[in-house]
Amino acid sequence: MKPVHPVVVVARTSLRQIYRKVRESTRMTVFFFVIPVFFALQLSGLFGPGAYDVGQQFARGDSVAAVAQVRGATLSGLVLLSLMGVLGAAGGNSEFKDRYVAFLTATSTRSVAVGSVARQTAIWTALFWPAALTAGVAFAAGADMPVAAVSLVAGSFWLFVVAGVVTAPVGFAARWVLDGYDLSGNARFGLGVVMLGVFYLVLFTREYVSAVLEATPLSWAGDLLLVTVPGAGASPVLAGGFLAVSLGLVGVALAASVRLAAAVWYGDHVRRPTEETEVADVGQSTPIRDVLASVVPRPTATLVELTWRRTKRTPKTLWYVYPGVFVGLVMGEQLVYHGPFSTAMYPAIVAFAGSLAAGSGFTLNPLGTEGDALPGLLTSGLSSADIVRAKALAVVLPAMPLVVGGALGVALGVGDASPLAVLSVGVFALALAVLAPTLSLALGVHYPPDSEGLLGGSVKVPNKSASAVYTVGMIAVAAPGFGAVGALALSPSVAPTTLVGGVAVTAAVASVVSWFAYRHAVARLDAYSVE
Amino acid sequence: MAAIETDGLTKRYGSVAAVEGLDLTVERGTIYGFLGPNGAGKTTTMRLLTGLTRPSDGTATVAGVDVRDRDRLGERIGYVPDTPPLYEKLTAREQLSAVADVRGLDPELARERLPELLDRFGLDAADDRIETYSKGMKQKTSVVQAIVHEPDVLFLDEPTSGLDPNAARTLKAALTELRDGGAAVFLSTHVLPVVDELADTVGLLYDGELLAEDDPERLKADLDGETLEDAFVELTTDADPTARLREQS
Repeated sequence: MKPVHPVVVVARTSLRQIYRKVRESTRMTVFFFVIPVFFALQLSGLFGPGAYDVGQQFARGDSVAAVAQVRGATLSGLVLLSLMGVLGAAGGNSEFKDRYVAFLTATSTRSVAVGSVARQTAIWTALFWPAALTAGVAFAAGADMPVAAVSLVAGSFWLFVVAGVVTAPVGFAARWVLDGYDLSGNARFGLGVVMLGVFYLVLFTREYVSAVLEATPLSWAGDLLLVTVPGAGASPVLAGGFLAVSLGLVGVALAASVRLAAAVWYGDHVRRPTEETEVADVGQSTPIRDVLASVVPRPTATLVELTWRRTKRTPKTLWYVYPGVFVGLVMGEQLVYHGPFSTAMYPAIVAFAGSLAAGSGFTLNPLGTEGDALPGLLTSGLSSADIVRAKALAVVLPAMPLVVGGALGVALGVGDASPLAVLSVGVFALALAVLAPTLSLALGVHYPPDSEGLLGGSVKVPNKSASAVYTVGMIAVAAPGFGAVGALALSPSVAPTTLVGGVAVTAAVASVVSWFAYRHAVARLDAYSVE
Repeated sequence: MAAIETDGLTKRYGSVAAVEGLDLTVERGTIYGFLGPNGAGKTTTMRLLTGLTRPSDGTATVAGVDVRDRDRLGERIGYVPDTPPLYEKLTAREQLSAVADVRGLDPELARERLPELLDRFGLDAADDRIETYSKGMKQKTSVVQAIVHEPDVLFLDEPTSGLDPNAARTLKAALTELRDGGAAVFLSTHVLPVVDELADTVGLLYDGELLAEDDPERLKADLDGETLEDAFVELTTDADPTARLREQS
């Protein structure tokens, strides 16, 4: 029997590992099922306008507009895929060497590098291509032209392969740069956030991006996808050109990946992080700890200060804070900037999104973020109440002035807000700023240290399920107050009792929930048992 | 009052008993060598005695404190688990200073004690981040962290793992000193010469049950072994070790 090529072995083994991990976790199975199904339903047009409707539009004779839509979607999709590929490749490469160390000592670097690129591309394709496939079939069904599905399905598959492979060297290069330059953890994380920002920017300006790229050879991708759609005006020459060029790019990208992987895995360019470490005298405390210790017991102050210091040095642990901020930006854009609400809505958005973000850090996984040090903390003599209070304080102390101050500042800044409206927003923000850390702690202690997500290297972030449940809880409590401010933002003549009543309900519920959440977190930690 | 006292201590995971009916007494001022093959339940016992894992049945007190009362227990014990419980992003100096503060150690005392311990254990890279340390350096930091407050009972799980001979000797000296000062040391390791050299009493755990307990010399004599390793191998490879012990006695 002919031996299997090492590339296939590497890709197959690492994919099998992921497959079993997914199979053994209900949450991950659901994730891998829900994501493609969600996008497939969205794109196909089963709910709302989608590919099926565009197909029907094509069949009705409005082919120019329909074809333009397909071409636009192809281009923006290609850009989004590339950005996602770069993010994934840059993040994933940090683990590559550890992940493939057994292979690296058994076969060539080239085989391992190509196998790893194949693995990444396969995951990407498995997650998102089913949506493109469904959309292609839906278009063909809508247009009543089965043959149209051929190039739409096969072409989109090729785009996924190209995007996955071509972005791999960018990821390796990014990792090489990050490892080789003495960037601080914050700077590295900042780069990641900037990349995410670019991703979202493209997402929101996809029509504009498509229009710009229409004049470039990238638009030939549209010809590839439409080449078997009768009457779509796609050029087989341009489709072939795209195929040839992209094939060449895949070859070049694989060669570059091999070179860059070797540089990342074996290079001696990695520098130790030396900055940021303040040398403290032994037994002598820091000024922050001393100040805190003047208001709370010293052990609590120490834990608060320690949490801040560790977070500063591992900012990735705040991963879920950024989506919270992003939610605020989207709400502002959708509800006020392009929506029906007046600017009076902005302060409530700041209060809600700010609080949501504040509680989405280490408090969502208080045990897991302790890492190996957890047994040390639990046997340090600190009570569960001390630990919970310290973790909550570590959030409340910076978040309270930011969230409450921010909401009040915006309320005063947007002008013509009545004193009652400003006061209501202040109460609303205060209630949510207290609720956020206590609620997230109460939920976070339910997730044992080994169930959090691993975000590159040894950095752990809160469990996705904890984040989802926490978000739902925050929405439920904030709803009455948010709705009341919303009513004011829709109609300034709304009765003051509506505003005060809504905010009062949120404040009262938040106070009660915060208290029970705190007590629950303490009780849960008390009963915590390393199993 | 004994430093460690357990009565029928049991931990079950479903139908599997990791520790079954453990009756143990460790006196103050002694070093207890806790031995057993892989999977015997040593780490689970350590976790039960340090309050990290809740017992399914039975009772246990450490330094007079019920192991279910983790808050009070923490004040009296030090624990060196097999994986050093350290914050990788801190320096050893920051870590130890924080632990001293968390444990409520007088700052003046900490200022005196910590440099002495750092010096003694050769932690000369105390201002580098722990993430850059070798396994042995991490282990030394972990040991210093566990003894900084001079605990009544010190638990160590494979403490010499990764230590160079100098550091291992320093650790052994420190453990002997702690014992001489009246503390109890509960030491689990596979490095049997260390137990042979230090332990006043040896307990052998097998399949979650305490199979034998005696001072090392008597245990060796009972099992006709020249070294503790001979005795260990003899006992743990026997098809029916319990019957064998009954026969011996």
